[in-house]
Amino acid sequence: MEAVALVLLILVLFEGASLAGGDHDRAKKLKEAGEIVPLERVVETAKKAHPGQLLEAELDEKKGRLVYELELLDEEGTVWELKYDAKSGELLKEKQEH
Amino acid sequence: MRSLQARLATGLIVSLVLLFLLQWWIVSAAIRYLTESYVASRLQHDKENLLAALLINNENASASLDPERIDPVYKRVFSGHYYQIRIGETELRSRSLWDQALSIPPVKAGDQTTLRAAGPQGQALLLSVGGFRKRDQGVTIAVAEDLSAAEADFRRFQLLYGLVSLAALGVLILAQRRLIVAGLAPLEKVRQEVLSLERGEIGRLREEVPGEVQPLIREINRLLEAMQQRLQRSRNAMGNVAHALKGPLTLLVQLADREEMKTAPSLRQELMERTETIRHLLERELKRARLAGRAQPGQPMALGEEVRHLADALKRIYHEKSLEIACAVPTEPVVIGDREDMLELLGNLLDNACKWGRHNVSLRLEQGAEGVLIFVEDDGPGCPPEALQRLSDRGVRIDESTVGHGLGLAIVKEIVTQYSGEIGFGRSERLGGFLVRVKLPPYRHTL
Repeated sequence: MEAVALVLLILVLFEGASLAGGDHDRAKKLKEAGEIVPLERVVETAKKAHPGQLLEAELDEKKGRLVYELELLDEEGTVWELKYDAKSGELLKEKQEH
Repeated sequence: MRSLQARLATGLIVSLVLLFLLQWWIVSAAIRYLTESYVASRLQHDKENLLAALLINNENASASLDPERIDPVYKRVFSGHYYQIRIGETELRSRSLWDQALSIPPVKAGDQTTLRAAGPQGQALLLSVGGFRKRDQGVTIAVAEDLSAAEADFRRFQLLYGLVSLAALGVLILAQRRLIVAGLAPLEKVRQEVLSLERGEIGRLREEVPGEVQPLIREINRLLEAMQQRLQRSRNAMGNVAHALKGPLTLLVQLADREEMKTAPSLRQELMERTETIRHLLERELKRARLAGRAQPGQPMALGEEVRHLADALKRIYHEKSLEIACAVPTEPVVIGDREDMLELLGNLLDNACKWGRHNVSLRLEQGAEGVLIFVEDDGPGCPPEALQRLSDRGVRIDESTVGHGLGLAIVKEIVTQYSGEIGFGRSERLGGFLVRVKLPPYRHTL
C-alpha cells in the first residue's frame, strides 16, 4: 500500500516536473490525489496563530517529505516563516524571518 | 378633518424621505458601477497581455506563456489576481491560484463576459472571460481580480453616505416645519380675529390677509353687514307698523269718547280696554323686534357715560320727586351685549325703580369672570312676598299677571332670557324697597 503510494507520488512528481508546469500544478494534482491537504486549510491554521496576510507559499520536498513553506505578514508588520507537513498539515517549524 | 399643517408636513416628509432614498440608491449604484467598470477595463488589458504572451506550438500541440511578460502578481499565491487559460484540453493556471481552479463558462471566440465568482479564501472575484482564436486554436482566457477590499470600502462609503443623508434629511425636515408654521401664521391670525369678533372687540375682520383666504374673509364681512342691515330693516318695519297703527288707535279712543258711546258705558269700557291691549301688544312686539336676532357683535360700552345720561333723563321725567340716583358702574368699557339691548335693560330697571322709589334709587353693576351682575334697588313700598314668588316663576308674563309692574319688567325678563342670564327679585336690605338682581353670563356672540 505504502509502496503504491510512493510510486504514484514519484510518478506525479516526475510528471509535474516534465510538464514544466511549476509547483502549483504539482500541488493541484497531489491535492486532487489526496496526497496532501489543500493549501487553503494550512493557511487557515497559520492565520489562527498569526492573524495577517499570506505573502508567499511553496511546496518543497525535504528528505522524502512534502513540506509547505509559508510566508505570513502579521498585523504588527512581522514576516513569519512557517513550515507545515503537507500530508498531515501539522506545524514543523516556525521562525521570524531575518 | 386633519389640520393643514399635519397634511403639509406628512406630504413633505414622505416625499423628502423617498427622494433621499432614491438619491442614496442612485449614488450607491453609480459608484459600484464605476468601480466594477474600472476593474473590468483593467482585466481586459490583462487578458490582451496574456493573449500576446501565449505561445502555441501546433506541432506538439503544446501551449505555454512567455514568463517575461507575466505580471509577478499572478505568481504570488492567493494574491487576488488570477488567470486561467484553456486551449483545447490544456489548461494554464496562474501560480497564484495554487491548487485551485476557476470554473469558466464556455465563451465563443469574439465574445466577452463578466461575472462574479468565489475565489480562494472566500475572495469575491470579478471574473472576466473572453474567447479568442490564435494559431487556429480556440482560446478561452479568464482573468479575475479580488474585489473584497473594494467591496469593504464601498460598504463603508454607503454607510457614511447614508448617515450624512439622514442628517441632511433631519435638518431639511426641521427647516420645513418652520416654513410651514411661518406659512400658516396668517391663518392663525385670522382665527384670533374671529375670536375677537366673537367677543365683540371688533366689528369686522381685517381684509389684509393672504389671497387664499381673502375671499372667505370678504364673504364673512359681507354676511355680517347683510345681517346687520336685515336686522335694521326689520326694526324699521316694526317701527313703521307701530307708527302707522298709532293714528287708527287714537281714532278708536276718540271714538270711544264720543257722546253716542255714553249711552252704552259697558261697550265703551270694553272698547277702551281692547284698544289699550292692542297698544300694549304693539309696544311689546316693537321691543321684542329689537331683541330678535342679535346680529351685531357685542361692542365694549363706556357704561358710565350711558348710565349717567339715563339717570339724567329719568330725573327729568320724575322731577317732582327730587330723586337721588346712585350709580356704581365700572369705569372701563364693559362687554355685555348689544348696546341697545343693554340700555333697554338698564333703562327699564331704573325706570321701574324711579316709578316706585321715594327718594333713593341705586344701580350697581359688577363685571367678573362669570359675567355681569346688576343690582337695582329703591326705597319704595317693595313687593308683597306672594307677588315676588309669582314674578320669579318662569314663563309668567309679568305685564299680564302683575298689576303695577307694567311692561318694563317684562322687557327686562325677555332680554335676560335672550342672553341666557338669570333674574331675581326681592327686598332691598339697604334701601328697604324693591330689589332686582340680574346676572348675565360672559357675552358670547354666536353667528
